[in-house]
Amino acid sequence: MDRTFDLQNITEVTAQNGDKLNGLAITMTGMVIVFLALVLITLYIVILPRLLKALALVLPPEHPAVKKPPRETDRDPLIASAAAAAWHQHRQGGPS
Amino acid sequence: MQLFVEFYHTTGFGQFALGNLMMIVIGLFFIALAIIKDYEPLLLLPIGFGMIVGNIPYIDTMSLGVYDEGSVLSYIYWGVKQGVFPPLIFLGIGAMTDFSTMLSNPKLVLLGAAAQMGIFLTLLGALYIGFSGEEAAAIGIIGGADGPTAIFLSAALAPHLLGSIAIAAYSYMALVPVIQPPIMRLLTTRKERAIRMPQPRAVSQREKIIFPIVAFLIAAFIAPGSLPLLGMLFLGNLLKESTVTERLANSARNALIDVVTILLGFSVGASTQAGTFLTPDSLLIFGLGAASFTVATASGLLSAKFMNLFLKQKINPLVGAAGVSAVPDSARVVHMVGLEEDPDNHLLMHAMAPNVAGVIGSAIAAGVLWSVFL
Repeated sequence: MDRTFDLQNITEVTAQNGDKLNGLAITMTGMVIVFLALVLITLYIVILPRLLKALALVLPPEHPAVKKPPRETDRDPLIASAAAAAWHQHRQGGPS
Repeated sequence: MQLFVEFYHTTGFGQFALGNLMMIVIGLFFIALAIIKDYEPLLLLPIGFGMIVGNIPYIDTMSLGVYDEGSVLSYIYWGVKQGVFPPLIFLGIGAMTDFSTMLSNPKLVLLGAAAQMGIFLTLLGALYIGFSGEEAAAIGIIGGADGPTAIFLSAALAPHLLGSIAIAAYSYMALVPVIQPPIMRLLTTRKERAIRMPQPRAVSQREKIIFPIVAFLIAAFIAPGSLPLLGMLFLGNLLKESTVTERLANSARNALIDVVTILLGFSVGASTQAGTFLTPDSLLIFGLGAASFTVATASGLLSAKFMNLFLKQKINPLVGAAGVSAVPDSARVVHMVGLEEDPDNHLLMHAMAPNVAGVIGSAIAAGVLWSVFL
């Protein structure tokens, strides 16, 4: 398709539904909306700790995740079964 | 003998054109970049191989390519054409993303917004050249440096440019380590690049759980067009942070995103058949994409410098370049450039804040453009 480099293309944009739009207005509005959304998210992040402090009165206390200490059975099962077999043989009077 | 000649005409050799050869060479180049240079291998490798597959010629009566109704490849490409794959990728990204640094230093979110300037200035450039409004919007989104968002918007507004836009977006994302550092060095002084930023504060689990819900409500109410992308992004993040759906989060960030990445990369690559891809418009799109990426990087950097005029605790302006949202590559590049000036200055965590904010910003920009040109 032949392209015509023209500043008028920016100011006179026709949308699919036939609406006449201005590229500069779209750019300005678009940037304002993106900034508005992210500024609101920023403000929300700023007040979030204070909000949580207030909510702490009604919410259950937050416990940090505690790592469970390893249980005896977490050891190598091969060693455990070897020890059990040795103990069993010992009890049976077999070779030690 | 005549049978042999007839058979020869049905083979790829019989119908091979120079355009096919060029596209296969480009596909091989992508594969080489992925394997040798390790540039975005998860994307460039399937795309590169897809380009080779898409450029093997066949007779018209065979239904084989992505554009042939009923072909296997057309069913895979359906996910791209209908915009199904991008939200699924966002689900996986959400399940991988840690918003902690953003929550601990909220002013860095603004850098993610500033970097979206590239999208809108490129929209003007594309309009000036003579692209229609819908085409210009789809081309502009390349500046968001977000492949899924670029595919999502071009599938909705300019499906005939989808192949070129997707390839341009992913190429520039892969070339982040090449494109961004010179712009960073050009627009900052050594002293600025060596600025140290304080360690981010610890963020509670409760903050991390509430954030995706409220951030989604804010973004989706302002730009409903971003709903499929941001809905999935924040759902993925909630799956991760809630800690009660670890299995789902694991599937989203591993198996699901991997499957979708393969299908998306391969089918986008296969859509670049020489006949539809090698056009002057594709060249213009690649040029505009490069401009868009450059402007986005520069906008982020300059905005950080501007913010420093008012801040007591200065921001290292390099982190502004991460606002282009190529996650996590641009944050990694910021980190590397920062280390060149001061080997003990680790900027990665700080750069992740504008980086993820950029993902949100470019999805909102896509939503805005979609609603304007619908």
